[in-house]
Amino acid sequence: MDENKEEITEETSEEIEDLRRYIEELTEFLPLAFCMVNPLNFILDANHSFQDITEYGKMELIGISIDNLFDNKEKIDDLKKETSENDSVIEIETTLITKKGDKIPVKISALSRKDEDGNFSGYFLTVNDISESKRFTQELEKQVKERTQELQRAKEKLEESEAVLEIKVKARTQELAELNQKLEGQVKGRTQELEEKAEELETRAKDMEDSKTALLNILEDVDHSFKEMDKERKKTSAIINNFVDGLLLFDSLNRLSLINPKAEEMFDVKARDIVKRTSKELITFPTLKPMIKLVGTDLKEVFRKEVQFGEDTFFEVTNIPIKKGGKSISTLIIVHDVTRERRIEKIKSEFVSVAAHQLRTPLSGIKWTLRTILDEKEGISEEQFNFVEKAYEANERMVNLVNDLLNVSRIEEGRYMYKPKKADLMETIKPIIDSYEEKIKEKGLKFEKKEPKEQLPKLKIDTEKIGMIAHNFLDNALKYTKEGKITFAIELLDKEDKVKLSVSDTGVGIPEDQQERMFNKFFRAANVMRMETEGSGLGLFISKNIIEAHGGNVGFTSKEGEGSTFSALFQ
Amino acid sequence: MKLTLQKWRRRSTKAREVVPDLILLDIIMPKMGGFEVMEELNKDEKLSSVPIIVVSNSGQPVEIDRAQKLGAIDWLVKTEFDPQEVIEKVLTQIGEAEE
Repeated sequence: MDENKEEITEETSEEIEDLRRYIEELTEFLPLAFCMVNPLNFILDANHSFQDITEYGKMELIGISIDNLFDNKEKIDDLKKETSENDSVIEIETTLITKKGDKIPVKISALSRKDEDGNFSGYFLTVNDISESKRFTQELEKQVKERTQELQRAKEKLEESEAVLEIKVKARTQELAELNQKLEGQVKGRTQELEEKAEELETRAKDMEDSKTALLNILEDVDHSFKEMDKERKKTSAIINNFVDGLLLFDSLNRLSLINPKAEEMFDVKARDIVKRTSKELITFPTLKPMIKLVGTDLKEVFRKEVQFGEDTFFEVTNIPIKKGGKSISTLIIVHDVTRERRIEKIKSEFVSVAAHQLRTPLSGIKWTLRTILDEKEGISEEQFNFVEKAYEANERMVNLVNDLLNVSRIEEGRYMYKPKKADLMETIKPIIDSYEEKIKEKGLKFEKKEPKEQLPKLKIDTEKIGMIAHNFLDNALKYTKEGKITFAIELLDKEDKVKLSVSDTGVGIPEDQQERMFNKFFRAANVMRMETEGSGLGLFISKNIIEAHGGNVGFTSKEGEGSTFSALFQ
Repeated sequence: MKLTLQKWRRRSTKAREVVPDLILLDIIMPKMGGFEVMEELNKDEKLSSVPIIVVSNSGQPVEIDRAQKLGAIDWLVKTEFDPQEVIEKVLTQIGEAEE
């Protein structure tokens, strides 16, 4: 039996050894930190995880009291007590103090060990690091706290908004109340207005009734006026129809609206053929063409312009726009037959022309004969020479008079033709001025000649006729100045665009009441007639015509007893 | 040499070969007027080139224009000139013609 017992023991001890190794390996491998503690709280063994967490080596741990590893000894005592009594204690929170002195929050659990007799022989203690979960819990708590605070703040804000909203609602309510009040006021005002208007309308209706009565009265008057107007119209139409001049009335669109019988006769047309036709259409009628050409298809204003029809018919055309409120509403053309006047004028003019020509022939005979005698001088006494000279001068005056008459007749005939060419004015009249300078000085008068320093622009002039102007002006000055001075001047005016020729004297001047007739044909002022019996009274008339034919202006200033200035302005 | 138209006309064909340097011509004349004379002169081959100065007491612009067209180089109104001035004009013209 002993042998057997020995065999069993050997076998058992081997098994026990295996088991011990198994447990040892298992405990070393386990990640859970645990140790074995005896009833006196001394550590008997500790696994690898326990060594890691406490930072003590195994040999340092074995034999030391477990109390040293935790900050709360009482808790460990309670744990041991409870374990001995209840076999196990689960998850008591405490703080582990490591070898370095770090404090780690842990949960510890214990399981009691009992011997064969059931007596408490110590316990297993497991340590679970809860620092991570603790930290997580703390973080969570912190976040919860923060969130709670946020929520609190939001709540406060909400409460604040609620208060603001309440104020706003209150203000809005008040506004609405005010608006309502205002609207009520307006409605009230409007109602009053409407009432007033209704009243006014009533008054107006009454007024209208009155007006109606008044209108009826007016209508009666109008009817009467219409009758009067009709009478007037008939009268006017009778005047127009029997008017000695031709009348053509155009409307604002230049359409012929009326033509009187005289005009029909003058233009050899019938009213029914041309009324309502425009001026543009009328120009196609051969007899109307010259007149429409004169006034233009736009019927421009024309005053007494002459138009020739055929061989020897002359009409004087006047076109007057009829305006109302500054706006032209129609145009009236008055056509006056001047054929007879023109014929008489022509006959008269031809007579003067022929007469003048016929007069010239004997005058030239006398002139040439006397001139020959005067030039040769031989065979006559001084007295005879003087007689001949006087006869020659008288003949010259006669020649001048005939020339003047001839010029006037040509002017009136419209045959006083101008042959303009570009010429120097000063050069043209120089011989005339020179000859007069001599004569003026001979008479004992002073003579002054004023010329611009600048070169005169060349003017488009008829040189022969321009000479006559200088001649006439100077001749008058010489004739009617007894003492003093005669000034001949050429000036450049208006930035050298215009040339002014003038002759001033200190002569008798022209009486004011006769000044407006100065340029009339054959006119001679009374004081001048007394002074100098000779003179045709044609010189200034001719000069004016020449100047105007050149597009210039004639002018003069004069004071009786002080002198005169005559001028011609050319541009 | 002074030669009137009448005298010139009466000349024989040979004598007519003497061509004047200048013709002074009046317009209003008996038998034949100045314009007709100019028209006739223009028909003659030799005489058509002779310069003509009209010396007349007429002198309306239409007449002057007509004379110019017929070849007159000048128009003198008798009353406006002395005999001496006419002679000067003639000399100037003949002088020019000789050139």
